[in-house]
Amino acid sequence: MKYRHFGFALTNLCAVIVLAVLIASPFYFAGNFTKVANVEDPEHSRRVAGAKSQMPYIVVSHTDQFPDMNLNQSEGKFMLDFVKINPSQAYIGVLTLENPNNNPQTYSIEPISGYTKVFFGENVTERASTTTVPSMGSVPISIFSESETAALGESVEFKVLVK
Amino acid sequence: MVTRSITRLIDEAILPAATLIVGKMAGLFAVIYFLHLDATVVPASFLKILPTVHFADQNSYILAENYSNLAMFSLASAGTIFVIARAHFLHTSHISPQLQAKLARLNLEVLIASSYRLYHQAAIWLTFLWLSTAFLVLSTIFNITYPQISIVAFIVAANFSWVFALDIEKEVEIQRSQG
Repeated sequence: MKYRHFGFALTNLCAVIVLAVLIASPFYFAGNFTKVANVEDPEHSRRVAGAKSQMPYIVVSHTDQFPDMNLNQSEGKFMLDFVKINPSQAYIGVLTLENPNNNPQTYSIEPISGYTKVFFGENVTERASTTTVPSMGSVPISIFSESETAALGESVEFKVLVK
Repeated sequence: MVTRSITRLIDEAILPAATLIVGKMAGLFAVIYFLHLDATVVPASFLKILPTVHFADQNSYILAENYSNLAMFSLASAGTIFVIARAHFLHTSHISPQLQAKLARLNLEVLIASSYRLYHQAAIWLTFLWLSTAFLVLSTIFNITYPQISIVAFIVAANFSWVFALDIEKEVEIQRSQG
């Protein structure tokens, strides 16, 4: 008798769970069916009501405007390959970092490999490695290569960190 | 053995759940097609089976989300209107004899429903309607859905609930007068 009651309660609980899943499924689907491309660092993002909100940043690439430059991304790392015309050369506004959050965010660039300097803004003489971007604002990311190597082909790898 | 009411609710929840998913998808593909948005379908990227739609920029994403959420809410509203209208006019407890005779003549008696069926249906559709509203409100808080859509959704859901409450009130009165 006791087991029968337990079985009855368990079956009903399972039925209620099925019902809850059935009710929640359209909203779960609606919340995950669409995404924005170029969203980096998904570990730090949170999904709410169909939107990837609280994204740490959105990176928009402009490498197509620079000849012989390619951008590769993997797991929050950015790798730029390029061929210089002069031994010392700057590329302004290669990428744009956007802050999609409601609050200002502070970002910093962490170099991983390569001699090329990656910095926020467009000022080559004052290269900022940290910047605060207002809500819905954006900042250009530029690179500056001063290594006077014979080979003009270079690459640089870096990460964008959220403070 | 599962309680009859829960079985009935599960049974009634299948159609609205499927309708909302279809509404979201149809709304999304319609907005991509008609507004020529830049989007790509990535297969098997959601739950390792279902595809997802990736938008090239935030503006296209917000536009598509707004219209598709609106389509989903419209379908939830349409289903709720149908059930409420049925509860008001085609309810076995208070259907007018003239209407019943007319339906019998047209062989449409299948449209007449009992309180048991109607109330389970209405509970499910209203749950979906309010959850859609909550979904829109959350989306608005996170700057995705336009606030106007959420406000209209809330007004629609509140009004439909009120109209349905009137029917319950009527039913209680009938039961009281009979008992």
